[in-house]
Amino acid sequence: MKGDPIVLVSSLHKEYRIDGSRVKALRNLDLEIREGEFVSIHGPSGAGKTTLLNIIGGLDKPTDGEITVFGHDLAKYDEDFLATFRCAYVGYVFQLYNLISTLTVAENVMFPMQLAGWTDERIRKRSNELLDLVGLTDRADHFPAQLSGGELQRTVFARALANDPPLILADEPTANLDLKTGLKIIRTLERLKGEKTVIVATHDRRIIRLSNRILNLKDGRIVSNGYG
Amino acid sequence: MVMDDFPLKDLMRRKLQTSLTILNLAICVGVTVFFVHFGGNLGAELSLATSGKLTAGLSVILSKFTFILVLLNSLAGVLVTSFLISITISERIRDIGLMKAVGCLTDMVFAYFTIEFSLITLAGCVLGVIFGVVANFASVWLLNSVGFHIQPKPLDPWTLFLIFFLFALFSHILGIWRIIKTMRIEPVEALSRIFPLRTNYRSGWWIPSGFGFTVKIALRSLVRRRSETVQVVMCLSIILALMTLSICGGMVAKETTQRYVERAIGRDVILVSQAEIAEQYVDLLSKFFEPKQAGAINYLVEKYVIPNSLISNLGSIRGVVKTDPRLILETTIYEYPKAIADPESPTGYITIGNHRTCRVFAVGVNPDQVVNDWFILGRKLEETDSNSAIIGDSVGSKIFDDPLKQIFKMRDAEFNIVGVCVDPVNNGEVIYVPFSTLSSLTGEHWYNLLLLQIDSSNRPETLRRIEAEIEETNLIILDLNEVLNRHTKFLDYTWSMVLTLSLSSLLNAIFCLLGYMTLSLMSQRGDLGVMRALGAKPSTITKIIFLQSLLLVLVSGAIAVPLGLVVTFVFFIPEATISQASLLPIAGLILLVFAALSMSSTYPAIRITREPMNKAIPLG
Repeated sequence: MKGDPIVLVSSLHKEYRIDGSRVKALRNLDLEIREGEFVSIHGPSGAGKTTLLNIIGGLDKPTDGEITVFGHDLAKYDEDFLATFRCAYVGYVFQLYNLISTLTVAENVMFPMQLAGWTDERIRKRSNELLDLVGLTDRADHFPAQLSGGELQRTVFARALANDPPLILADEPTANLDLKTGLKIIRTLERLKGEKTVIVATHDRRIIRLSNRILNLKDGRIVSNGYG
Repeated sequence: MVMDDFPLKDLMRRKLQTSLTILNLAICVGVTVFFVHFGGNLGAELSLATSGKLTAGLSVILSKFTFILVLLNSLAGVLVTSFLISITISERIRDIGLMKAVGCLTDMVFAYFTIEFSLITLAGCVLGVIFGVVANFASVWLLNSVGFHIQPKPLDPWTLFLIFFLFALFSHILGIWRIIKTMRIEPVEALSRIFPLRTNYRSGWWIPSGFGFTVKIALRSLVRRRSETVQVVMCLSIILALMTLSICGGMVAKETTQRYVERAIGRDVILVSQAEIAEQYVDLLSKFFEPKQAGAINYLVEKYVIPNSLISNLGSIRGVVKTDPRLILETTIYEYPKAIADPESPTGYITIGNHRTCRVFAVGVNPDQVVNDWFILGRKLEETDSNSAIIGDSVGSKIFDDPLKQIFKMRDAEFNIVGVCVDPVNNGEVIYVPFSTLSSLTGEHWYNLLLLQIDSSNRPETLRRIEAEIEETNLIILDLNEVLNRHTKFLDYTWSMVLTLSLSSLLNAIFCLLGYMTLSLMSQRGDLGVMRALGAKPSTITKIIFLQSLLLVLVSGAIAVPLGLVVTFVFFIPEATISQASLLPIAGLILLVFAALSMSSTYPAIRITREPMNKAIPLG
């Protein structure tokens, strides 16, 4: 068993309204994730993996139930607090990269640090370290539209690590990548194991194999919650 | 694909963009209709043709002003409409690419967008004509309800049609040109994720690193949309120049023309004459704002005589600053053609003028005693002048080609024109000649009108003394300040109507900026969503968007405001006068407009920050 619980989910429900009809994305979820754990969320498409990650990351709010992350009851806070929370605690790796198209690779990596109010010198130093870590130093001045899928995903990883957040949320980080590029991403994730709390929504067996715990979701419910 | 239904349905789906474009065009067409007709109601002709003959004259200033404003307004209307159409199309470059990629012929796609554009243009033009006609009648009604008698001119359907046609034509030319340009995009290019932001090339713009990152992001977004940014700056510059002209020009013109009239009538001037003459003189003065027909009277009868002894007594009353006795009458003057040196050939001569005649109000004055201080082109009458005259600006434009070089004949005597003045008496159809000359021509060596300028500090007492002095005579006194106040009030209302244009141009500018920002935010929506996801607060996002529009407004303002000021002071108004007290409201109004414009962009910003994150960015 790892450290203290940092994510506490209790009786969580999430419902979306689409054209007047209700779609239940998560149903009565209970979950506890401890500090330093590497958790894989597995399940078919539409099971609620991304929704769960979004709620844990403070990007979305539950319809009902409780969600406490690092002691903060996220359902109760306004957008301003959630923005500060995301900036300080969460590094997000989006499935579709979501880089800021008008900023260069280096500027994208610098962005969370600028939001956090770091000094210019510290930002530059950290950004160089991260670009070196993901092997993108030579692409620092390129724009996202000029990068390949693998380079985009590595930039996203560098950005997710920028503020040195204690929690990394990754949504299908290898889904759009070829085998070789996917392996590079997996190595980056492997480096994070033990250092940070990592929650990954994935179908990739190589990532699942890395995990301490595997959550299996189906129709918005946890069908299995086992330790690897 | 059912082509008939598609454009209409598509327009209905894009309610905000469609409404903005239609409203913008409607405002421009409406303002043009309003000014063409309202200007006509005030007797100002929409032509610069008369301005070559005279540099002074209120109607000339008004028509010049109206002409330039209508021209700029039309230009702004057509440009902004085509710009809004262009940004609507830029939003849909992917759609165009997709339509082409699935085999839709370019002609079909072109027809589809052209029909959409025509629907927008026609709706805007029809609405605009209705809006202009209603505004015209409303303004006439407003002026009549505050006591001025303006006869509304019947609407000329051909003028309305011409305005409608020209707007529709030029909007189509510019709009279709943009559609053709967009149609040339290859499907692969249109579907490329690089194309919308042109991220395959760098901006050559230097962005200072010392700026905060919000400024940097705002600048980067503007630079990345270079083509649209340049277009919006152009449109905003024209609109803001129009607004500067209407605010600053309108206020300067109001103050200057009021000053012209005040100088022409004189402040604290008391009229002394027999009642009929006084009434006639006031009617002639009031022609400026009321189309009153002064009745014909014979001014040269004995009952109108003001005795010299009385004039002398009145002049010696304490508080009377100046005594200006006059002989007034109505007469006809005849233009004389004159041979002048040909400006194009040093040895040749050309003849200017014709044999035109004009019925005028002739005033015989003692040049050193006149209370008026008109705005004059040329010079004033001097004591030594005998056969010299100053003519009113309306006479000048009516029967002379080059008044200062021509002569006229009155009662068999020839007069050199030494000056042209702005004078509301008989609506400018007036001439001033030396009293001695006029009295020898008429054979009547007496005065029938007396103007007394009094000291305003001791006004009631002076008036009482004047009244006492004329008590035993058949004369009456009349305070011309009341007439003057009606004149200035009339000018106030007239220019206030012109100033309403600034409101319409403000709306135009807001629509233009909102259109741009809506497009800009559509394409930035993902980026802004990502920023929020990474921890940017709603206020940071609003700041970035606000900075973008502020930068656009400032750059456009830096071009437009000096341009508007130069046009106002250099080209519009001769001897423009503006008090320091008026400069503050002008600067305040312009700043207010800038603030309102920049603030208008916060509406889409607030909307975007309230959007749920899963709608703003693809979260998988």
